Amino acid sequence: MRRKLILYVLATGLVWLTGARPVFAQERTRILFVLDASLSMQSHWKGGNKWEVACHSLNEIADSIGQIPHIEMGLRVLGHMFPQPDMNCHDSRLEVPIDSNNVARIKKKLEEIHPKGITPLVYAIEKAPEDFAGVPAKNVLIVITDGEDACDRDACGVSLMLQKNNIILRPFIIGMSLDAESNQSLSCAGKLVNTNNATEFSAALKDAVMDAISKTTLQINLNDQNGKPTETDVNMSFYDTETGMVRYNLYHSLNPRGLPDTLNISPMFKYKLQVHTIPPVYADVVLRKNTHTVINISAPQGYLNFTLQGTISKVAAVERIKCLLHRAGQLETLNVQRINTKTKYLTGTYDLEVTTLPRLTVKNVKIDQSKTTDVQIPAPGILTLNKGFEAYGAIFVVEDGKMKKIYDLRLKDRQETLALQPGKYRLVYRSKNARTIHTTVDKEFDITSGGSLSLKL
Amino acid sequence: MDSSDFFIKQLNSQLIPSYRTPFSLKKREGNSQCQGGLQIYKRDLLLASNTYYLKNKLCSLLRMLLPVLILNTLYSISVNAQQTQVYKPNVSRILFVLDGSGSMKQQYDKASKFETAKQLLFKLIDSVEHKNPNVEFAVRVFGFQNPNTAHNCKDSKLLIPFAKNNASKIYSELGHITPQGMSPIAYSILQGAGDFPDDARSLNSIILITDGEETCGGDPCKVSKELLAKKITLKPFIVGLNVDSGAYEKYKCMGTFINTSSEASFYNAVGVIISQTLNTTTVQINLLDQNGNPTVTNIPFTLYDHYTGKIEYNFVHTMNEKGNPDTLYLDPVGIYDLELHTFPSIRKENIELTPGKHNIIALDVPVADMDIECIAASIASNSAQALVRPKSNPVNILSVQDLNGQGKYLAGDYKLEILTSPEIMIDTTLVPYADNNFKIPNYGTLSLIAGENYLASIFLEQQGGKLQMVETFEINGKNESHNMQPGKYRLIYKPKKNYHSESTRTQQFIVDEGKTVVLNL
Repeated sequence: MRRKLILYVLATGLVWLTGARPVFAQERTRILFVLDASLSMQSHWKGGNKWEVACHSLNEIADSIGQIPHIEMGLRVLGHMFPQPDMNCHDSRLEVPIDSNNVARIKKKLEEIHPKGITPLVYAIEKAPEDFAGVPAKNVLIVITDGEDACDRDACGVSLMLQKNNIILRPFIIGMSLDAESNQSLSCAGKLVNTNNATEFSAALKDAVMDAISKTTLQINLNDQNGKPTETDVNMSFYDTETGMVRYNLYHSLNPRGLPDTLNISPMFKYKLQVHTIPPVYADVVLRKNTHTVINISAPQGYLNFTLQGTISKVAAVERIKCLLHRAGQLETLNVQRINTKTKYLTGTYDLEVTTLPRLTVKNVKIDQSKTTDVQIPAPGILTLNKGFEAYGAIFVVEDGKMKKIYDLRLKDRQETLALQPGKYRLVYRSKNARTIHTTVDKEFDITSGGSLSLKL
Repeated sequence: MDSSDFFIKQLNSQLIPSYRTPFSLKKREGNSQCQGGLQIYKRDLLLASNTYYLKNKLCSLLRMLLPVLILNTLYSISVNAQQTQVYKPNVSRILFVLDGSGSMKQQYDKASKFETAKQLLFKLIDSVEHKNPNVEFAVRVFGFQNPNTAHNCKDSKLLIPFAKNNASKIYSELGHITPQGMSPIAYSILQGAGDFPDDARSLNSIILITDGEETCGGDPCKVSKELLAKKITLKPFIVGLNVDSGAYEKYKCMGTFINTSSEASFYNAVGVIISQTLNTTTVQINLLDQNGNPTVTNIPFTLYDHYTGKIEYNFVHTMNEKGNPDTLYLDPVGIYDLELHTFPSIRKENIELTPGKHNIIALDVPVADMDIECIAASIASNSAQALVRPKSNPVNILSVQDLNGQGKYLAGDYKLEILTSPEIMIDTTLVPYADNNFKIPNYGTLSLIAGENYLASIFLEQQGGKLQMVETFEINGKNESHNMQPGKYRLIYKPKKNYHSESTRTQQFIVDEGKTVVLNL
């Protein structure tokens, strides 16, 4: 029986060490094991007697975490000094003070102890302020017991008091075949897990320790086209899959080592992640508790630099020039980019519509990884129309030999200022009040880049 | 050819249809920055980036004439407001193509057909010459040089070339002719086209006088259409001398056909045709409303030559004093295409005018005025525009309309994309002969007070909790403001220097019409 147990522990230990890698908290963490050594711990259980199971699991845990920096352990035992008939309600002692490098001491102490007394559980717990000795750290209490307090004390009240005074975090309580009544009375004292055999116990203890010393973290890798997580500086929205509501908005960042920053996200929910690249990319995020989850998202990006060649004085006229970006052949406008700006897009092929006069369409513009695609618009020329009268008419370009209207004159405006791309134009107009069609004027004019032209109508 | 060359070629073929100023695409090499044409270059920068370089064709000129151009960049042109486009020929030239085939010897009314034609032509030409100094006549005869049996299908000759006052000469020359041969009509018409002097300001017509049909297998209709399309002459007028109904059918497609059976009717017919060719051809374009009445106006239109596609006339449609569509004077020689410049434009093709008559061209114009109002928007402040796309072909922008500006569209289904922040999308059906007005809420202003550099994005809270990114930008330690549509938003931002995602902050805010929200970052 004993041999079997050791084999089992070794096996699970291996799984733990080679499985998903936990992330350990960087802060100082002090764990105090409060171990029941009352007589009932001698009773037989599936997988050995309770005491043996508890000791072996503790040994295993101590070995596993003993070398991790920032983690200290201690051992308080109760019910081990006085035999049961004494009914000693103060039978508890800090056998191994909380410290680092004390795994051997803990193991040795466990060998020496023989369960014999009652369970003064609350007394043991309320010694916590002394045991933790006011050292600023994350203080964790892990209680292992097979029964409720034997001295009629209120475990919940004491636990709550200690938590409120920031002495300990919410304790972990691991029960060994607790009866219903004990289960009930201890459940409010901390996070209670009742176990019924060695396997369950070992797992529960491990979970408690892992909860105490590790964090659930997330790393989003925004990968470039080489699969390297170099893309960053974009907001990410985490939507709760159940409700659709946003739970987190976090800007993706690279830490000083150039790696994606670690995010602390509650493992309580499942998420739909929207990375606000243009266009956005999506991923499903399911966190594994106590582990560092890495989500790889392909988000290769490059830049589009949309500029004007040269400068021009009529800022308002020129700022009207915008660049609409579409996926090649698709209608949806992904972004409206202003003139003289540089914007990041997912790599790929895009169609651009530029709201110059006349409009410009550029098809199949490629945006490549980490490169800048420059789209330069020749500086328009400024046309000023000074009208001595209200006029009907339009400005045309000749395209494929056909008159193509690009702009309707504004009837009521006596002066109009337009930014036109360099080229040849025709202005066709007549006075609003004209009563013969032969007053129509058909006038050609040239616009030079950066120049200005004033026409008097 | 490397891949970038290929890419540029693709770009070339797709770019050109959308932008018509002379365009060429060349890969930019070394220093050759300035090349002819409006060019797009792809250049490889140090970072091997792609550059689409839209270059003005004046570039090389600019380099050479820089001082001059700088002096001349600001200039003003005053447009002559009385520039007109009235068609008025300097001279009318009429070519008679006269049948000299054997059958013309037959008795007609009082004399032989040929003799009758000779007499009457002299009478008509003589009288016109005296009244109208701007008209010239010429006579070509076919089928008179060889007898029928010779089967000469090129028996056609310009007997008397164009000149003023040649009635007597025509009379005497025709007196030497004996009708005897074939009827190479198509051939004669084609040859006749070459009888007219090369003169753009001349109105050319052909009057064919015949008693039968083509006997040489030619296609007079095809020839006639070609002459009109190439703007050489009007479609010929055909005066028949007792032709049978079968011949009549064949001549219908060639031009205006009048059959005559007496000297009087022959004289009348030719007389009417001559006066018709000398009359002014007028055109009225009726833009019809939903009731079929010509009330639609003030829209520019273009008349193209159908054959060459040349732009012949540009007008803005006008109502005259009486409220009717004003009259145009167009060259009756030619076939026209009309394009009315609504959005999208309406075309009517293959328009033939009846010379010397008032021609009415009617177009149904289900015009819909659209106005997109936004109280605070103005061109001066660079407010948003509305992109109008036809629903049937939404990939192409039909027009870009300013807010608070009016556009004339054809009734139908459109998609409007208004470049406010965030964009507003409207699917609409524009109703003809009605004002289609859309009201866009006034902007509110988001004012950001920032003391350091941030990465920032603005999101609109959509129904169901989804965030729609409206803008993403960097704040460079300065205060800035954004015009936004009313709505519930979130500003999500992070100090640029900070390495940790957890330094991301969120501020929720509401933008109200015409109001300013201030956020301290």
